[in-house]
Order: sequence, then structure tokens, then C-alpha cells
Amino acid sequence: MKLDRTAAAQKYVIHPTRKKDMETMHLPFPRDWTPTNLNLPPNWKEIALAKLNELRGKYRELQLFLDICVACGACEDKCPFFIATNDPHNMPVARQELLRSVYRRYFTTAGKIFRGFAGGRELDENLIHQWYTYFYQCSQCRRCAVFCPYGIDTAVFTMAAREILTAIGLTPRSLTESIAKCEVVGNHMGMQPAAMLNSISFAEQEIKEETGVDVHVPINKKGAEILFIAPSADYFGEPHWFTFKGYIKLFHQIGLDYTMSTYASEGGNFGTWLNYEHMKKLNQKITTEAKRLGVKWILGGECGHMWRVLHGYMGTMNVNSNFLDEPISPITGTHFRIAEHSKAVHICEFTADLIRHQKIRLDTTKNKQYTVTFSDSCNPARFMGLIEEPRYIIRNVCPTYVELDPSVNRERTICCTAGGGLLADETLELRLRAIKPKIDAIRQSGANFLALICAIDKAVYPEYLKHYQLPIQVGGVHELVSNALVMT
Amino acid sequence: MNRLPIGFGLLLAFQAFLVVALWAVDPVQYTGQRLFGSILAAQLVIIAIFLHLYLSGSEDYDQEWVAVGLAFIVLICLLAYFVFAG
Amino acid sequence: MDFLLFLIGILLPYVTVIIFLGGLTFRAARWWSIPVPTKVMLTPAPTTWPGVFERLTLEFVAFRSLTKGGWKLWLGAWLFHILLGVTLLTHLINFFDYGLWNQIGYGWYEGAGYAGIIFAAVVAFLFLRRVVHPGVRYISKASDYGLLLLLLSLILLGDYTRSFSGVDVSAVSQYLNGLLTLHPTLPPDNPAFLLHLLLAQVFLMYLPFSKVAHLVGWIMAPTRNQRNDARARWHRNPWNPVVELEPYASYAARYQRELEELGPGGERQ
Repeated sequence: MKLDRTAAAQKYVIHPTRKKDMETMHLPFPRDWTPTNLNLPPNWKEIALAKLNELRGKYRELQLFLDICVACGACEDKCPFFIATNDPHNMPVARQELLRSVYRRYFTTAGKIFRGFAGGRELDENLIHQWYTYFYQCSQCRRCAVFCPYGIDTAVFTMAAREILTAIGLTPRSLTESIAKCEVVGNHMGMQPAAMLNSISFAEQEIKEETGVDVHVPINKKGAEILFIAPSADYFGEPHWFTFKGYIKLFHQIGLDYTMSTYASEGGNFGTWLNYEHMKKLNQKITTEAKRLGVKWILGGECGHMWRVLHGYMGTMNVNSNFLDEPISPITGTHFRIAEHSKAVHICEFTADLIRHQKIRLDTTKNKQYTVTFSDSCNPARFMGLIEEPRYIIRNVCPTYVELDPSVNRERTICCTAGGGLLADETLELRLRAIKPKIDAIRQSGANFLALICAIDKAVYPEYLKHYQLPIQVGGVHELVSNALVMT
Repeated sequence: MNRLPIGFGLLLAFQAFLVVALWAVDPVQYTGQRLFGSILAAQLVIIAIFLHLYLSGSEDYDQEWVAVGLAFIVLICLLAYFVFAG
Repeated sequence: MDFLLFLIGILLPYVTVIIFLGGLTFRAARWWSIPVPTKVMLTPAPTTWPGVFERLTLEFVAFRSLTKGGWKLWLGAWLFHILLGVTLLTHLINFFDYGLWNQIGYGWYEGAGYAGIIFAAVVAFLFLRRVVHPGVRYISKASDYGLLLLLLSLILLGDYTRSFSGVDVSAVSQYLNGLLTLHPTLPPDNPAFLLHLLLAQVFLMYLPFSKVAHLVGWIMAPTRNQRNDARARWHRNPWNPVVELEPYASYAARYQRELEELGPGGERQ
């Protein structure tokens, strides 16, 4: 193992939010600044330390993980961003140390007395610059936690550090732009209701041309049984588009009573990358819309960050005991007990249930030209445990399926490396380096189709595969379903 | 890395020296010779395993192997001291 | 000399026990008093408490998560803890019921002796690894090296005490029983034993304030001990803040024209 101590990762610092956006989003201390000239407010140190103290009293996992790391080094070489840069601060334990050293220096007796000797560090602008660099080089994928003997999750530290950075007025542009658009317009792309309608109508037309069937997508329909939320990329981006057509063909085929929504047109919750308040706000759009439309339960599409929130956080943040109705599949009668409280079901769970009860006819020969492989995304794999359902679906709609090397797939997956707010042009080279082990596994598998269940994955993998010169098609699981679905 | 075969070579040379030195003390009359023999055999087997794993493994963390090798030498020294110097 | 014996053998042990138990309790209580606001389980995770119990037991017994990474670290860590357990068990038998060895068999006693020697070698491996491996060296602080060296000295002293110091184990057993029953007597006047005892007490006093408190902390990590029932049960966040959202009416007013395109009342049936 080689450590590159020339601060290799400093090449990939993410661009700062503009003053205008800071004002729109009511972020603290709107001003002009750059990563090298932070222009911090005068009392930033007090604010930062007070925030750290507040956070360690609010999150048990933060206080526990601050204390319990034994510096064993099991996590060191597991972070894709360390693999990409060999920058020692990108080792998960060292990334945590950026925060932990401040905790030791100001909040522990040994740190106050012995300072550096006890692993304490002064909180100065240099360290804040490092925080801004390295905590926006963690995609919160939690791969490190899998290998840690106690399950210490660097994402906990990253979220805490980002809360502190936000409190002193340091936020990245790519992140805040998307969140601002989502809050105002309804989705990260900033596409207004008319654009959404156009897009969906166009999908309906294409399906009519391809299959001769008239598919109709209800939008904002009150009293529908199910509210369907998809990441906005699904109806605007490629190759997401084919997955979207897959959803609506499937819903038409089974006669599902559902609706989409323009107010809650975004599944992907980018607020998780900034702080708790924004995450809750973006999720609240979905829950209030579900109540307003009077649906029974929520069905979510193929999106990773949406499901991190819908699975783990929604039930705590925005759902109480009389929220909506028990999710029961109207086609098979299955009670989705797994979602009894949050009332949100993943489309792969829904479709796998349909297939298990043989409620749809599938012609696997329509996918016979593909040797399909599946890459697990970080949030479905390490936050939901949704590992088998997509594979079950793929095996039932495709004749040839191959598994990737499990050391970079399943729970140890190296995901797209573009989550956690890292999807920006300035991080492209970093991400290309970080994804290399996964690309090697894909090359070894001999597949020619890469199935994914995450919108960011679908956005970045085509670029990665092109760079590594692998002629592999990228698509969603429901694109494969769409191909194999027999429409009547 | 070239350091590792050299390290292993030194280890084996040290062990050879240990064996020769103990034989020179005429261990035929020594009551613990079976114990000594089994310890030596066990650690030679372990070294063979380490060597096999190192050569067949795909990792390049030679530094950790150096630590393994050195700790092994520590183990041999400790065993030699505690078992035979009493 | 008697005063030193008193200090190390009678005063310090009680102080050590108070600090050790009190410190660990304080640590655990501090962690326990902080809420776990959200579900953060690391999946795949079990959905029932028996499943969590099984996961944690596997973790405890086999260091399961370390097996997913490099095997040398797993072997070092696992052997270390196994041999620690063997050492503690042997200590307990030696000091509270020495006669038990007759029933267990002297071969096991010999075996425990070898376990102590291998233990020293494993600690040496962990220390050497910390010095030689660049990644681990980068993150190591003084206390990381110090704890390992302290442990190494402790183990080597223990091995020496057992094999060559000529200590009378039954006298030690009597002494410890005296401490337990709160009728303390002076410890045996064996320098190796006394040094071992002193270092052990220093280690135990330092333990609650160091990373070795993972002794009680490992089981509290929410990433390992939470059930994967985040959508099935209500996990309450005691400080769940209220956030203000733009009401639908204001959104509908802003996009009124576009929503009309969908259909009457902004609905597309």
C-alpha cells in the first residue's frame, strides 16, 4: 500500500455555492467565497464547536464512534476514494480523524492537556479547508462500515461535518442548486409541470408506436390508490427513460390505479447530503402530497437516495401512526408487512411479488441478446437490504444472468461513486479512478448489459463504460421487464 | 517487493542456526526433544503456509507480511526461551 | 518494602476496581443517555431480535466483519481476543480454585502456558504491524503504541512470573481471596509478580478512558444492533424538528397555468 501524501485529493475540490443561491435557500452567511479563500464569518470557530457539541449530544452513533475507533486499519483500503487517490485523508479512519481530532482537542480531558500527543488538533482555517475537501469526497456509501469490527459508519461523520460546514456557510454548488430547484419547482432538474406532462405524453406516444397499446398516466389524480414516485431523471434522462416506460407499461398491463404528482415529482432526496432539516423538508413534500391526494400507499421507483430516506428516515421524520393505509398489492393481495408503518413499497418488491404470483406474462426471449449483470447500489444494498429482489426479477425476465465478483458487489459493493453530492463535473476524474475495481469486475463477468436500480448509477455508468472502452449497455431492471412484458 | 524473500530467508537461516545449536548441545539425552521436534515441525509447516498464501495471494501489502514474519521470529525466540531455558 | 507491598497489593487494587467499574459504567451511561434518532442499520440486517442476537454473537465469537477484509488482521485480532479469554479464564481458575486443575488435567495447564507465549507473539505482530504498515502508522497515536507496549510487557511479565519467578500460586490465591472478602493481606514478596500486578492495575485503570472501552461499546453500535424494520415500525426521534414547507396552495398558484394543462383542477385522470 502506498500513501500519496502530496494531498492528491486536493485536485478534486467541489465548487462552492454562489451567493445568490445561498440567499434563496436561506443558508447561513451568504457571501462570495472560494475553497482557497473561505471568507469565513468572524465567529465561525464558536459556531462550529457549538454545533459539534450539539450533534454529539443528539446522535448516539456519533458520540460512540468518536470514542470507540481502535485504529485497527481494517477500513483503510476499502473506500473507493482512497483507491482513487491514495490520499491518506481519504482512508475512512483518517477522514473520521479530521472530526475526531477536533473532538479530542476541545471536548476530552486528555486532548485539552496533551493536545497533539493525544490526537487532538486545533480547529483552524486550514483544517476547515480539509473538511470541505475531504467530507465532500465521501459519498456516504458506507462501504467502510461493512469491514469495521464495530460497524463504524463514516457517513455519520460526513453528515455531522457537513452540518457543521453548512452552519458556518460552506456548501457546495452542485448540491444546493439541486435542492433549491427541488424545493421550488418540485424536482432536481427544475422541470416545471408542463415539461413533466410533455415528457410523459411523449413516453405514452412511444409506447403506442412500439406496442400499439394506449397507456395513460394519471397525474395529480385525487383518490387514486397508489402514489407513484420516481426520480425525476427517470422521465428526463437516458437510459432512465426506458425504465420509465417499463414502469408505465407494467402499471397499464396490471390495471393499477395509481397517480404521479408534479408537486412531488422528485423521488431522489438530495437533502440527505446537506443536513437533517433539508432531508426532512424534501421528504415532507412526498408525505403531504400523499395525504392531499388521499392515496392508500406509496410506490417508489428505482432510485437509491430516495430509498435511503423512504426506508430509513421517512418513518421517523414525517410519518405518524395514522398515515395512509396498509400497503396491500391490489393485484396479488400480498400484505407488504415490511412497509406497515411507512407505507412505501419499492417497485422491485412490488414486481417481484407480481412475478412470484404469476400475474404478468413474460417472454424472456425478448432479452436473449443480453448477458445481464447487476451492480448493487450503495443505498439499496447497505441501507435497505434490497439485494435479492432485483436479481429475482432479472432472472425471470432474462435468460442469461451473471454475477459480479462479490468482493465489489452485494453488501461490499463499490457503487457509482457519484452519490452523496459528488455528482459534479469537477469530480469526474476522481470518480473514474474510484470506479476502477468495479469496472474490472464488470469486464471479467463478460456481460453486455448492466442492470441498475439507481438513477445516479444510470446517469454515470454510461460515461464510465465509455471511458474504459467497454461496449456494455446500461439500463434499469424495469427496462428489462419492459422488454419481456407481454402486453394485452 | 524483494524484501520479503530476503526476510523469509533470514528467518529460515535463523531457525537452521537454532537447530544446529541445539543439536550441538547433544539433545539425544534431553528429555524435551520430542517437544522440541514437534515445535520445529509445526512452525516449519506454518512458514510453508505463509509462503504459499503470500505467493498465491493477489494482495500487494508486503508490509503486513513483514510484520507477520517478524512476529514469527519473536514467537520462536519466546518459545525457545520459555521452553528450553527453564 | 512493606509499604510498597501495601501500596501495590492492598490500596491500589481497590482503587483500580472502583475506577474500572465506575469508569466503564460512566462511559456506557453517557452513550446510553444519548438518543438514536434514526434507523442507521447496516444491511443486510436481521429483522428480529433473535436475528440481531445471532449477528452480534457471530461478531463476538468469530469477528465476522473482519473476515470480509484482509485475513491477517482478522487472525491477529481474533487470536488476540481468544488468547485473552484463555488467559483470563486461567487466571480465574488459578486464583480462586487452584485445585480445579487436578480435575481439568495438567496438560491443559501446560497448554495455557503456551497460550500465554503465543499471546505475546500476537501482540508483537499487532505492534509491528502498526509500525511497519504505512496506513496504520499514519493513523496511530501515542496511546495506540503505548497500549500495545503496555500489554506486551504485561504478558511477558506474566509468562516470566509463571515459568521462572518461583512464585507460589497458592499464596497468590490466598492473597486474592483476601482482597475479595475485604480482609486483605500483604501480597507475596515476588518482584516479577508484583510488577505484573502493578502493570495490570495501571492498565485496568486506564481502560475506561481509552479506546479499550470498546469492551462495552461494541454492542451499542446502532449499525449492528438495529433491526431492519425501518418501514415496519415507528422509530421515534425525540428531537425531530419541525420544518416549514411551502404549502400546496402557493405552489398551485405559481404554476396555475401549467397545471390547468393537465386537466380540470390540475388533475390528469
